[in-house]
Amino acid sequence: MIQRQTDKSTETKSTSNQPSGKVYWQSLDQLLENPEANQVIDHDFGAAAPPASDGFSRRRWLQVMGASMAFGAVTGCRNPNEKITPFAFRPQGRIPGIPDNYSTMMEFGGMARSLVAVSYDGRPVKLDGNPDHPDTLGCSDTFTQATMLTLYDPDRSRESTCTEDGVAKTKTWEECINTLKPLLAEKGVAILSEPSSSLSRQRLKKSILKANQDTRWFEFTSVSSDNAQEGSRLAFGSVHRPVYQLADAKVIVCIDADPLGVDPAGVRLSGDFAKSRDADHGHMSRMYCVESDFSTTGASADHRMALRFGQIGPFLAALEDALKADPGEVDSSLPKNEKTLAAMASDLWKNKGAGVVMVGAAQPPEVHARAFRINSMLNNIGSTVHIHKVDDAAAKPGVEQLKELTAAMKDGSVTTLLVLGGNPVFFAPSDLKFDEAVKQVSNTAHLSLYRNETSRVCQWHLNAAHPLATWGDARSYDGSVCIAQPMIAPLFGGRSEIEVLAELLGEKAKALKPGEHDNEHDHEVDESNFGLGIVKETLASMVGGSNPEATWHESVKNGFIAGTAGKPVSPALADMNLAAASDEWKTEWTEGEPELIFRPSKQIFDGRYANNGWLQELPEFITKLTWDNAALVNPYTAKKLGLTQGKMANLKVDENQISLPVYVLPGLPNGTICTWLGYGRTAAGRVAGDADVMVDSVGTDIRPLRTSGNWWSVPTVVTDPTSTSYLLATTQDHFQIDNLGRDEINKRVPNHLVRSGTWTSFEEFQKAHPHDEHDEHDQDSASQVAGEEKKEEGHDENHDDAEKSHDSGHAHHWPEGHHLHFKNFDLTRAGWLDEPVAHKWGMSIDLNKCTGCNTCVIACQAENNIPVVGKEQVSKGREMQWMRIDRYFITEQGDREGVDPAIAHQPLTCQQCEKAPCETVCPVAATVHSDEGLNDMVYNRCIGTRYCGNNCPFKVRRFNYFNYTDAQTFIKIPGADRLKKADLQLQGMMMNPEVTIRSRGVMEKCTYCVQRIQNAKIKAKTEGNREIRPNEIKPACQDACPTQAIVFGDIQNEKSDVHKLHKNPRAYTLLEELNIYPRTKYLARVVNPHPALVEATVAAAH
Amino acid sequence: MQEFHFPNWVNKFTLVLLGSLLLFGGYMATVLYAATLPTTVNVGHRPIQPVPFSHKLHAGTLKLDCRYCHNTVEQAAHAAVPPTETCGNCHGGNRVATNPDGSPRDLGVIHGDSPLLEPIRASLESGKSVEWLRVHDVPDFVYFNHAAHVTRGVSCVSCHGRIDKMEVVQQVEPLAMSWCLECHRNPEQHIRDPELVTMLDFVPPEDQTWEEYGAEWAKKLEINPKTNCSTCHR
Repeated sequence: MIQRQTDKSTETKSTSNQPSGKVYWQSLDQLLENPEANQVIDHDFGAAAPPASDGFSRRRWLQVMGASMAFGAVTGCRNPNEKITPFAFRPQGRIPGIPDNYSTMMEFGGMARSLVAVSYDGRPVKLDGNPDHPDTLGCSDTFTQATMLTLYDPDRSRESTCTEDGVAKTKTWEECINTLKPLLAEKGVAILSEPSSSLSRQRLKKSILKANQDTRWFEFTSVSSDNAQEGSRLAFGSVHRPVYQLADAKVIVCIDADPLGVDPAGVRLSGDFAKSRDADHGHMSRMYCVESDFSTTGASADHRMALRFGQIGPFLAALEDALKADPGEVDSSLPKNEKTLAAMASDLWKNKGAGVVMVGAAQPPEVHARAFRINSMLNNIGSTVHIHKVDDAAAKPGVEQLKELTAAMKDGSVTTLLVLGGNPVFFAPSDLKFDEAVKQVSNTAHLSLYRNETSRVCQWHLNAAHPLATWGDARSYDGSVCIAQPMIAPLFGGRSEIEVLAELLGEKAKALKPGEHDNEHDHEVDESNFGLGIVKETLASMVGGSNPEATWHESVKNGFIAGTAGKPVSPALADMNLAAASDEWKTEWTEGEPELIFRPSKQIFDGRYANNGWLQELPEFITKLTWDNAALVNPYTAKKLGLTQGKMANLKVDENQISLPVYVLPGLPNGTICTWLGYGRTAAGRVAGDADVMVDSVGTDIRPLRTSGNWWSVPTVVTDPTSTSYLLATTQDHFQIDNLGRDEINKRVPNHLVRSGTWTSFEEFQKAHPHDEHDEHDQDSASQVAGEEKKEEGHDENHDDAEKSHDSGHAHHWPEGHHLHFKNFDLTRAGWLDEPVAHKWGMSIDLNKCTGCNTCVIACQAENNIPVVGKEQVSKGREMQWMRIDRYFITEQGDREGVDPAIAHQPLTCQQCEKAPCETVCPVAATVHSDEGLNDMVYNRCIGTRYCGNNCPFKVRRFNYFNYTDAQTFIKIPGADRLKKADLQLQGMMMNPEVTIRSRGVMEKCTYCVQRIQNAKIKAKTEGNREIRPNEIKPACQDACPTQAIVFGDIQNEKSDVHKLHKNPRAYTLLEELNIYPRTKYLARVVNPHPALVEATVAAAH
Repeated sequence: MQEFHFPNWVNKFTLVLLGSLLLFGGYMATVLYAATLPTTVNVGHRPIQPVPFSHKLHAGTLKLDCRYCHNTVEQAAHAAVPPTETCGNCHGGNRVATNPDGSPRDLGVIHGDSPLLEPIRASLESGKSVEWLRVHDVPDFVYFNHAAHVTRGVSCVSCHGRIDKMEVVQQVEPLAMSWCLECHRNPEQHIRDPELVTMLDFVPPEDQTWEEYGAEWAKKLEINPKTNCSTCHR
């Protein structure tokens, strides 16, 4: 039992009266009631901006300058003359200022993602999923959303160069090709590329290998599906890949897999996962997660078990063993982990054909092979696990191929090395000394978006075009062929991979004349963009039919070729000689050297997105860490090893040592240190570090410990704590909702911010309250579920019966809810909420669907021109993202180490309160209410008193302490002065023209994407004054959300989804006791624990 | 030594001095206020364009419809300045187009060699824009939408004045927020049959006043302008 003091300084979120004796907390500081945790509550926006350093304070300066500015203004108040430069010849169909949508495609992890780009006046400003493609259904992920920033990144390579005598000289494309082409015909040519599903590349690869039989082709990347591929080779004798059908699954077992997090198919899998958990329509899957890190999937799972990396394989063997015969019912006397295994086995057995066992990319091939065998044993293959054949699989895993290449380079049998994309020098295992081997090759060339680590050791650097600026093709998760069309001409005149290959093959002339062209369309092949010809030739056989040209145009328009999705096959299982089950997984680590595991970063993946400020500043879901990687370790292990949060620790494997800051993260297995890949770049750019221009690296390079033998994990690592402090910018304590006062209310009526209950109780509730009876007053049955907090609250509970008829849908399901609107204190005019207005905008966020993937945060940033502030500013609590995902750990009362925490999370943005506390305190009416219920923010009026932010109970307002947008969207402060005017203009191209760019001293916040609302209204009016369709308007967050947890609309329109969701029995508003009537409602989470495990797990927390 | 004292008669000047300081302050305040009014600063702004295009001639005398050139006004926020191609339809120099029947059509029939039209011919030749100067410029934080107004019966003349009488276009209205709000609060004065929005010299039928006529159309078109901040500021 945590003793709570009434003193404000120790007020934390860990309330003493949570149900089932659970505590909710956001950081260990909070749990341990350290004063640091409350700094943010006490000082709303951190400390004030520092005064100017020269002793002449800002205030004094203002006093002196006040008068002179007033007079100066007279001459300067007309805006400078602006020029209008219309087209000389406007393209057909183009209307200046009206955005066009084009479907295109980008590859992520060797898999196509079908996308739609929004283009204003010829410049793409926003990317979203393709609503017509089954893999994205209009949704996307953080990497997709942040792509825009990379497209316009001024640090991208601007030209091709050749390094002669240590000096990089600019070369034209002709010079590059003319030099490289003859070299490729000679002996000793090696080509190194990243794995790709591009059909054109596959075709050109074949031609290249045919043209010169001596040429060798290698494929390697940092994070790949090699282990799964090798696993399928073990299981089936040939390479296949699993395509999971999570929507139909009843039991999902993730073995160190993170389908809801960093996964090339993450968008599809997250969406399907949400579909499998549609509590309102009576189906609910159960997810088990066994993992060695703390993943997004782990946070969403009903049962999570933390095991060391090396124990995961033995665990799966034990699971298979348990499934040899009917496992029967769960023996409740077993220890916790064994009971979880028994429950897993029992669930999988009972749901044969409706279960999924999936294994993460880091686990060795044997574990993947075993999962195939289990899925096959349980008849899941063919139903929930589809198996697709992989035709063009490499013979060996990437690391092995790279080993072979390095050896060949060292023995001199490679004379010409062409590296296509990627960054092998940064990705390669450190023991191979790949960069040194590259230097031994006489001719080296690297095609790349950036002049990165690899480009800097190669003689030639070829300037690549961004995938959004070129034609391309690739296969998506379901196997369908997606087509990329350029959204913009290559900004810096680069070429794509397939264009370079075609040109080296001498196929350019052929590509320039790919047959007949349809003159009505503007897909004309020209010198600058002959990729179209290549792609068309590759796909010619697929776009058949009576009118191939029409099919082609249709496919480009749709973004993919219909009917090309892969067909599931059912290959026979080979005999596998896998290790027998053992009890190895049961041993708990208590002391000794811990293991170290590597995981791709949720922000910058393997480092390829490192120069993207949006991603660097995105708070990682579990740790809320920005701008850094760290040694993540759980409190028990930290104590054992003497590691302290925020101090550096040396990690040593043999002779190799790195120094990482320690981040103590509850929930990791004992004896495991987890760290992320991709940090510590030295040639990324001015955001993530560039040694050439003296910009320090962001984060720590872990490569010295990542060797070909220890590619995903190091079994033992020597740790050595140091006393050196390190600033970790974590946002976990920022923007806390102050619980002062709420605790008192909580004693009388439970009123939690994040609510959830079990599926069993929800089913009971639904039986007692069929949908059509929701508006009936039924206190008795409602009281049965009161303890489970399945409840509906209503605005009108405090009004008398006459008003209830206006809003009869909001009925009383939860007697305690009545007290939340204090009748005596609510001065609201009776009936004011029911006054007729044209629209009542509202939002609903389903906590049952939300996985905490952060996509909404970046989508909002891209849509609303939200700047990046840099690590220093983040550490002061000044991050600008309008959305945040509040993440709470839930542990037992009295546990001060955070053992086995569950996670509750909640996306938070402006709640658009009907009676907004921010509005009443603004002295200049810069934030006022619109009659449609929006809490309008008028930037041009704001004078920056910050009263509104202070008075906002949700802490969703953000203040521009500096003119962040001016220079820092790409560049953090140290390099900002190196930004040229032209680079700023480049950044300007990325800005959404529909949203005002805020300057220093202005408060900003979410407006439900008011620009989209206004444009939809104007569109409806100009289209014959029609009504706005029920679900016509989607804010950026909803548009991007892979699970469709966020729904926006007119709550007064009965046909709209949000209207229905606001009446859902799970709906509730935050901080009801304040009588502020938020327009955003949350839908309580439903967890589905195994009945036998209820006591011991996540579910008990709810 | 005796201290110096101002003589008593100086006292009466103290009042005068204070009074004149007050007056001067008031004067300066008035000047500052008047000088920064949008009506002072913006009304009458008439930049000299690279081509002395006469709206008086084209829209007034020749009665070209506004939408012949500003053809995106009914769909987009911008009433786009036309591409040079539009100018080139009549002033195309030695350019030639093809009629539907296949016969050639001389695009340079009107002032095909006028030196004043040189920038137009240069633009058509090079494909580069003519750099026009913006006359009506609202701040970047204001999101005015032409389509929303002209399709709903607000005439061009309400904001731009009698363009058809202007040799050189100048701003005639302040385009200030209070001025916008006047109409958003009482739209009747400015609403008419949407078919007639480009008829700049339009007057309502004789048996109706502007108010009656406007109110009738406002009702017909369900005009209910908003005065929310987010209507124009996003």
